[in-house]
Amino acid sequence: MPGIKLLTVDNEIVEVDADTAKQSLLLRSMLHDLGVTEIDDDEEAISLPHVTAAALRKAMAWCAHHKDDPPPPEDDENARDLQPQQLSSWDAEFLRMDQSALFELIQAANYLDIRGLLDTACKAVADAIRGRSPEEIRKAFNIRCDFTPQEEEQVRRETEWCEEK
Amino acid sequence: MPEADVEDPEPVQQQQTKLFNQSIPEELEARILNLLDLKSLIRCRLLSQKWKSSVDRLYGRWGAVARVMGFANPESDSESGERLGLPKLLKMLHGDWWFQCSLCPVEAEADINPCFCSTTSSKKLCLQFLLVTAFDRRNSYLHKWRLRLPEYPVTWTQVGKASETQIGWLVCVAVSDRVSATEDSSSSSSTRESTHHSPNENEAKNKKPDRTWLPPGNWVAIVPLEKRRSGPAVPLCLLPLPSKEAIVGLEAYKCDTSSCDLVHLLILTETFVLLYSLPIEAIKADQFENPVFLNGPDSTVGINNGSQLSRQNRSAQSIIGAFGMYEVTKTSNFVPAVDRYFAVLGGSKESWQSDDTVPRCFTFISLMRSRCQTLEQMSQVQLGNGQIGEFLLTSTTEKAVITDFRRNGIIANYGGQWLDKGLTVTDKSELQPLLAIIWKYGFDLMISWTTSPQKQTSLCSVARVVSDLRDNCRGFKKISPNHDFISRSLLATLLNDV
Repeated sequence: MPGIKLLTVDNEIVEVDADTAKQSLLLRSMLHDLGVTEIDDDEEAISLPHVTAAALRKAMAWCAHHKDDPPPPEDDENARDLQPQQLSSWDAEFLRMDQSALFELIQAANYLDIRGLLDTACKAVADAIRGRSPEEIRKAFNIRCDFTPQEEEQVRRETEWCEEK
Repeated sequence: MPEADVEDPEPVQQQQTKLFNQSIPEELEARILNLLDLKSLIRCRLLSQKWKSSVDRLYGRWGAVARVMGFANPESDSESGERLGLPKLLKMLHGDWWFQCSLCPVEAEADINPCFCSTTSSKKLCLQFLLVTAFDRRNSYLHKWRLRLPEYPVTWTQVGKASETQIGWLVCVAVSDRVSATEDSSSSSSTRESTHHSPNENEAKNKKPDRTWLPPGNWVAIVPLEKRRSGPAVPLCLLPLPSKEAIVGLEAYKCDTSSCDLVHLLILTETFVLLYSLPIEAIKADQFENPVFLNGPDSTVGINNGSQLSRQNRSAQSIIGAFGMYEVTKTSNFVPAVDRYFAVLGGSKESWQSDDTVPRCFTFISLMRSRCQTLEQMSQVQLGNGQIGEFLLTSTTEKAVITDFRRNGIIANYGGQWLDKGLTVTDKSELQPLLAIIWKYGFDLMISWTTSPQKQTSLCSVARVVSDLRDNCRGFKKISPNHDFISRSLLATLLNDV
């Protein structure tokens, strides 16, 4: 299996399968431009200045599992408020990690341009918010409420229609 | 990547707002927020100033919401240059200027053909058109509509709710009240409105409205809506309310038999439940331009001012959700449940059809503490004095109620579990006049009776026949689906055992 070398921001060289790496539109484009097809000991590693080794390995693991998936659909604003799709059990288990690792993975997916992983990881964060009370969300994401009681009441009043029913 | 919702693209490092206490670009934060449903998203505004600001600036999202709500080109308000964030959308939703600004939907002029009022035969209907912005089910409480009279083009808008009924989405618009309100408020709002009105409109605005087409009273238009589409809507019918009250609930019921030619409208106000009937032709699409005028309610039931229902209404100031609809039996009709209450429309379908009349009985049962879960049975029985009795057995998670339907009174009220066996009524006893109601309650056989069925508040007792009659109980299940099979001796035994 041909592979390529990637140099991460934490100065680690990670060897990855080229076919798997091509799920990243960034890497696909770079490999195409550089004409790289397989590991060559003399070849310089491709530098990824915004991706850590841990995040890169996770991203590639996700790509390897989803290599046969169809490409994700384009964003559709009108479909946003529809019932959200649930994460697959594999993805849910895969994304069971601490918050900083999850956000690192989101950044990596964004930088590497792996739409499917980006969607999935963002969905995992959104799932942690959906249906929770403000207090629960604050606790989950360590958010400090800086509203005065009057301000909070005002914000609540502005949108109380949404809490009806 | 799709276009980020946030504006002013800047280098990645400067865009980070640390919404999640993590360093991710603002565009990714927006991406996550955009995956949330509207309710969760709006709840996020309460987290902190930073979150509120991020949610408010999801311009693409709020633009999409505005479009669903019926605003045409909501993002292209070139006058103010202000982009459509949530604060502006809220202003648009709650402000009176909503329909008069450049964001309003394209006005579709839909003239209604003149219609003659049944009570004032020579007066023309001048209600010209009603522009309705309809929402989907989840947002059904956010409707705005516009009423325009030809001689008086000042618009009126209101946030309200619509109900999905058996015959579609309907909204109530208080016609005469609102015309008066508009008239009263026209001077105070003229400054603001004059910037939007053409000279002709301002001239017309100074005219007194011609309301001669509408008889005096508190008139309400029932208007059908189309889902998720803005456009003109015309009233299905106009009906008079007995008092000046806001309508908080509406249900429409259409008979499913070909020979029944009425549609029933059940309207809930703060203090009344009102039943109206209109010809079934009135709901046909080609009749919409000739709305029917109804003369008055066929039946009215008052709601106690101190009742929980009324308190709920006052606090919510909005319509209670759609009424549940229950088919009952062949001999009875339908029972719309109003939150924790029951409204029962009585009279047999056959009598509606043959007499061509509206239901004669209209009972409002207000002692339910929770939503009715089952409507067990409604039975008719010939009472000893030649009258017909109708008894309704309903049960909730908390209690079961037997109602003397004809007399509008509750004769038995039991707490505890559900009654799992239907109602059986008999008057076949030598202890005349006697009315006994027997049913199975868990493993127990239960009996209620009154010795004075003519009285509405007749006494009622319960006998629990527990251990020694369990065999009989099983037998009862076998032999007594029809009360004719209950023998006098069994009844006497049961009564003697109490």
